[in-house]
Amino acid sequence: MARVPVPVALSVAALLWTAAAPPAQSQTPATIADSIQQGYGLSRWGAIPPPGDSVTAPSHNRPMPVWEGILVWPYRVIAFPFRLLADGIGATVRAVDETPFLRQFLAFQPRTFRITPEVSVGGLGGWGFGLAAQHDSLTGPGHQARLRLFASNQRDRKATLGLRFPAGDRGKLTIGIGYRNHANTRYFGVGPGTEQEDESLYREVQTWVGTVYRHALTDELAVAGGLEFTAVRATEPTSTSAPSISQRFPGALPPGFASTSSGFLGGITVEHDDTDGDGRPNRGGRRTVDVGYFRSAAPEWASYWHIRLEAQQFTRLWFPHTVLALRGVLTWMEPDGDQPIPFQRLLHNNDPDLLRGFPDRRWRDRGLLLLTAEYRWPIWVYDRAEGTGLDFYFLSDVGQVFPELSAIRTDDFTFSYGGGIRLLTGSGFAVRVEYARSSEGGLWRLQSHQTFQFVRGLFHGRDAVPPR
Amino acid sequence: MDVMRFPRARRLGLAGACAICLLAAAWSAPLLEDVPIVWHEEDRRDIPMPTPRDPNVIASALDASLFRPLGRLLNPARLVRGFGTVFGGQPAHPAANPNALDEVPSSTWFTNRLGLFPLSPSAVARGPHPGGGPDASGPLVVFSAKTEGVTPGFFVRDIQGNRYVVKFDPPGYPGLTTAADIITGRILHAAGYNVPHDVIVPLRREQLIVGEGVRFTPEDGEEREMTESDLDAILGRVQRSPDGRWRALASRFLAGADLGPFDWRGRRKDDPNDRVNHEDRRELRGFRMFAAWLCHYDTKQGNTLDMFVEEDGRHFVRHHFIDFGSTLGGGARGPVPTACHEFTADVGLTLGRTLALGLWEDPWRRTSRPEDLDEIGRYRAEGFHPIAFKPLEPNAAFANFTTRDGYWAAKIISAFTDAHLAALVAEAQYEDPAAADWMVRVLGERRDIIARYFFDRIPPLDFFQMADSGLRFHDLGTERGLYPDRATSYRYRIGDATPDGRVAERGPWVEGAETVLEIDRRTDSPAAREMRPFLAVDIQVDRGMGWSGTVRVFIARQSERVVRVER
Repeated sequence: MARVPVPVALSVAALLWTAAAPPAQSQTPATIADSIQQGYGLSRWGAIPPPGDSVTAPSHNRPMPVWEGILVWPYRVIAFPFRLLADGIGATVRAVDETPFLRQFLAFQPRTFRITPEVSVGGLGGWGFGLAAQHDSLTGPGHQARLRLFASNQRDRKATLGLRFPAGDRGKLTIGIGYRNHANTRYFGVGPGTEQEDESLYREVQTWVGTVYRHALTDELAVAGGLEFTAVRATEPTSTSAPSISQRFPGALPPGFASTSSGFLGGITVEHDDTDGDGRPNRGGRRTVDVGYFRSAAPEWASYWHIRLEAQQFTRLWFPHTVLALRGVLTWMEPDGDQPIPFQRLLHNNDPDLLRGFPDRRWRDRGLLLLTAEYRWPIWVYDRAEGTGLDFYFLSDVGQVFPELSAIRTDDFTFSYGGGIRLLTGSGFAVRVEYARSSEGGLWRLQSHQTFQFVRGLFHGRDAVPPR
Repeated sequence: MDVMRFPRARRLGLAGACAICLLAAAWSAPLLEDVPIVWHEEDRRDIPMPTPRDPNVIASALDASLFRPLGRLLNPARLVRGFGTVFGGQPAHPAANPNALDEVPSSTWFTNRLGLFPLSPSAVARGPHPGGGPDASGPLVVFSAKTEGVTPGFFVRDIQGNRYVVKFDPPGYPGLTTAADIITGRILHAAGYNVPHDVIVPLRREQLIVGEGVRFTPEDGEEREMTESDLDAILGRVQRSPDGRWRALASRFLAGADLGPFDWRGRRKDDPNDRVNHEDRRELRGFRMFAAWLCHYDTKQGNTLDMFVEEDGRHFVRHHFIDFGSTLGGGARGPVPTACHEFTADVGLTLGRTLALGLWEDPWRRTSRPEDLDEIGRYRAEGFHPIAFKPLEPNAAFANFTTRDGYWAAKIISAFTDAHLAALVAEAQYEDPAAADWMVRVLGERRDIIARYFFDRIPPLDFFQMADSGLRFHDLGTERGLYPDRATSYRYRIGDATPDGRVAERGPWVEGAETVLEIDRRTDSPAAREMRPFLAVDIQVDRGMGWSGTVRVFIARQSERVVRVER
């Protein structure tokens, strides 16, 4: 009698065993579950025996084809240091994430109290580091306090404190105090015709204290009134990277240099805002009218009226999140008397009234006209359209400074253009990186404010001079 | 005489290319053997307990989203294979663990269920533990709670000592995630994956009591002992039904000791049973299609769990998928528009959108939830493409996915009938019958899209068995109603095969409409059996669009056993 191999015998036995059982469809539910939980029974391939030597085997990796090995092994050797680097980064991330203090420091977890770092790299300010600590319920619900401290190797210093309290359902009272030392600040002269070659430096020290009450009349309309004391002193700079103001303009130093301008600014603001969100609106706009009066404490300097008109408009284009953002700003100072306005109080192109493509404070005068356009589209979002994400945008800025309203002329307009990427979080704007070119060259910019819908006011410690 | 000479560098390059081609040709499939098919993987050997893993979520995400994709992008073998896809090649080598029939043996990862066994709708809907919900005849004792995140939750123990994770729907979306969890869990279990047993429970406040000494950290507070008012506060954040109860999902604790998640790449080095790189396991590669079907976008390793279990005196690791709230277009914060359309950090898509200058709109921005169905997330069949599916993080196993892996998954997915889907959707207990109808319809439509996609590429001729009448097979495309209006015919030819798989003396193509192929056994001579102990049957299908690719079936002459299927 022919001998039957053991595996075959087992297989046949299993087949007979399963064949003896009624078809699966007619079995009771419990029996179906029991057998199939183990992966055997009468299958579409026929009978699958229960685990046993003939039908059970370990799986192994397939050997790598030789041609793959020839290619892959040298690659693995070359990539090994990079793998180590990646592991190191992973270990660092883990250490940061699992250290409670660092988590709070980097504000990974939103809390009522948080500390966020502030870094500046290069430029006239040099390398700097600061911290902003914010508490959102200091003495009661909604009682906010924000303290910012910053220092750089070029001796820039900043210390500001903002307090904000709810006042009724629709009101908010803000109190702010601050000190800022710009160790090196640009000056090119006054007026639209200044030359790039006339770049010079001076030191500007600002101190301020003030209060603002803002009241929302409706969801879209608000009024604010405030009173601030500000002092600005202009002196010699600390850097020698460019001539100082006294070296560049020895016989024509601007009025106000080497002295302090101080005084009170009282003003009222009316705001209308019907945008559909902060950061990524695609309809509506913001309109602001600011009127203020600055009373100089020193009789040799002029007191003046300060007027600022601003309009921002957001328009959806072919897709809901492809947006054209337009902004126009007209602001000027009207002296109350014959004395001059100190140059350190004059209006200039600086955040958020930027002429991107030109360095900050490239242009300075009693008036500033600015027209900005941004064409934006989203390039990345996290989870949902209105959430955290990245936008790309093309930008163009047109503007000029002027001594009188009647001096606004298209011939004096500056023009710059460029593009950038901005990161928005679910709670608002976070940071932007952009590059812009003008007739004077190109300029990169990394900033934590946006040109549109910018955060302003005493609470955040924005420079108080000139008022924006 | 002038001899054309190649420069030295070019000659070396040519020689290298020839060598690679020869080596590639030399690498061939294993020998044919007339032995029983392996249906069970031997990975339940008794082992000491491995060390639990606790990968950091952010570091893992960074690795999965940045470093690993970069490594794959620069891998020269993958570059060559990627180039080969232009000519019909596959982006990765074949999966390591399929058996000779191209099926996945049952293991601690996967157990063949609906794909191979006919199951009734009620069996499919029952889940891993029939009747496995918390025992409502006594109190549920809260022994831990979580306050972080959008939706709160806690752990309870019933009077039988069984432990459950209790989770809720996000505010404003009753049924969104709890129903998704049930449906996805039931489907994955019926398919063959290991999942926890989840049930919908209507909770009443008086059912719940806080255990003694439970530590609790309230939001913005210090850790302290949990009180009943803390439980009230947690429940206060959860949407309540009109009858005063809370709809909750109770997910039963898995048996065994928690070893943490498994990685989608590599192996657990301290588990001797874990011998196949995870990215090369077919059930993990093929999981991509299940994830696409169910829009299971949060497939990070944190949503997997290895348990060290004991069975029949042996200790080994069993591998599970857990937490299916982020499926079917929903999520912990409500419907997720981008779900299944892009990675969290999708460099390619971001670059493409940048270059498109805002003149192209993402498809997900044009989709919406079904109107008036609050329990349904962003889950539709319109615009669904199985290969376009992307989870939140690039996945090492999905990156190795081949068409054969997809065919294997599609075969199981298409085994779910409408009756199966209706039965398991009923387990989700949607308040609105229209929501249940919607879910059954969309699941069915997406199932058919996946099946057609792969059955168009690999002829779905399967489950070959020798019978007295000949070689019997199933045409899954026809049987599962995927080509309703097309006339179908088949053709086959038979050849002799040597153990190394070479086929000679092929006969002519024979056409027919039957799924039983006549195999002429009379030509078998003893000499032929000795030299060529196997038959090779090539089969093709035509549904009015021309003949498909070939499925080759090897049959042992001696035992008349189907010993290998090649697609």
